[in-house]
Amino acid sequence: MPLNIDFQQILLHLFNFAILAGGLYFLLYKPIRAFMEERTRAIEDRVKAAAHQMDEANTVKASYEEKLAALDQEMEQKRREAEKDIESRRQAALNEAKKEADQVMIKARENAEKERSIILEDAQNEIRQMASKATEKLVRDSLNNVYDEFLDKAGSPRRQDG
Amino acid sequence: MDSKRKKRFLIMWVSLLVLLLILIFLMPSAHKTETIQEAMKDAVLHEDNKVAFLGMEVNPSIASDWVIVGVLLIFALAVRIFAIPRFKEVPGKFQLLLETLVGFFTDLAKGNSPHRNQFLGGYLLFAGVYIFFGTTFELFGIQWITTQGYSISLPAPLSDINAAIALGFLSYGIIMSGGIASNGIKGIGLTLKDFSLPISMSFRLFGALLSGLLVTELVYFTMGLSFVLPVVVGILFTLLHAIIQTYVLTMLTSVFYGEVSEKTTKKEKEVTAS
Repeated sequence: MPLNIDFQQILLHLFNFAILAGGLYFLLYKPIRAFMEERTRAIEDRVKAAAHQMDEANTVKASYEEKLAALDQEMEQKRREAEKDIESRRQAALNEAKKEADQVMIKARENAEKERSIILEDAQNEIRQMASKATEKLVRDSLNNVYDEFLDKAGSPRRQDG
Repeated sequence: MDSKRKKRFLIMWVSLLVLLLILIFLMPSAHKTETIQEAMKDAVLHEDNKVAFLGMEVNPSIASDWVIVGVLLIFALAVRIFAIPRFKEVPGKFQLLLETLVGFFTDLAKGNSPHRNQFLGGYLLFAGVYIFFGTTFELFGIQWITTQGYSISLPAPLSDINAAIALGFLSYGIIMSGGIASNGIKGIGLTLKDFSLPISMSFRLFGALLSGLLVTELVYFTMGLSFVLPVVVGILFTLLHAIIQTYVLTMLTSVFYGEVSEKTTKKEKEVTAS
């Protein structure tokens, strides 16, 4: 055969190849590949479990966020109600204060009016007394004058009639 | 050691080397048992040097095969018994090396052949490991006694065309088995379509190994080139074409296996309303 090709040699090589291929397949390839696949499967399972847990955690988180949002809304409503309440109380207190102030003013005005009338009356009385005293004095003075005149006239030597 | 003594030592060492070189080239060499033509012809054809096996005279590449198969099987057995049961989820260096090796051929098989790739991966591991170690085997220079009583250095098994043909046809047979397993009789037809494949695979392997071998043989034969250069030529070339041939044959096998093992779907005939 050309190039020293020998079928017996080829078969001997094939025999060796068959031994080596079988040996490497069963001793090395299959167990290592099985180990790697098993590990890959275990890791995939863990990844799936982690993803499942993540989903659950996300669901819980979403529900908590929902609750928090509802709570926020409730708090806002409560705050508004409290503000409204405070506003109404403030308004009531303000009205009350205003009313009291009005009453105080009315009372003060009444007192002032009363005092003014008393003062006025006193002043009138005083004026009246003064007027009376003045009139009395005037009258007395005029009477004295008249009397003096009379006495003067009466004391004179001739009397016209009497 | 001070610099003066160091310099003196260096000068003496270099002088000794030069003297030895001069003596080597001046001394008449012993009678060469074979010419360069004979050496290269024997390296290619393996006609002269034979080794004994079960009463038969076989090429030395068969002995190389025994050594490689023996060493690899003992290694695989040791790994199976001692290493694999101690594998951990986070691999150590040795486990990582083995997993990378198996993972490389598994990925090659899966990538090129989506169907029936477990068997293919196993075959690719064998072929890859065999070609790599079969090629680098020549670096070890293991001595063997021929039937004529001479001592020879065992060659790379694939430098024997019989080994290359065996591996080429085995790969072709594996490809055909994939075709038959997936498509039955049609698989044989699909594989036979590439009838030149086993020849091309065999001769590619043989040619690659042979060219490297001839270059190194030529280098080793000439005394003047026996210093430093064989280290570069022998190791670098051998490693380079070992890796290249490993990748080429395993990739070709997986690509053709994937092609013939792909299930052919029957085209549905369009039913037209008459």
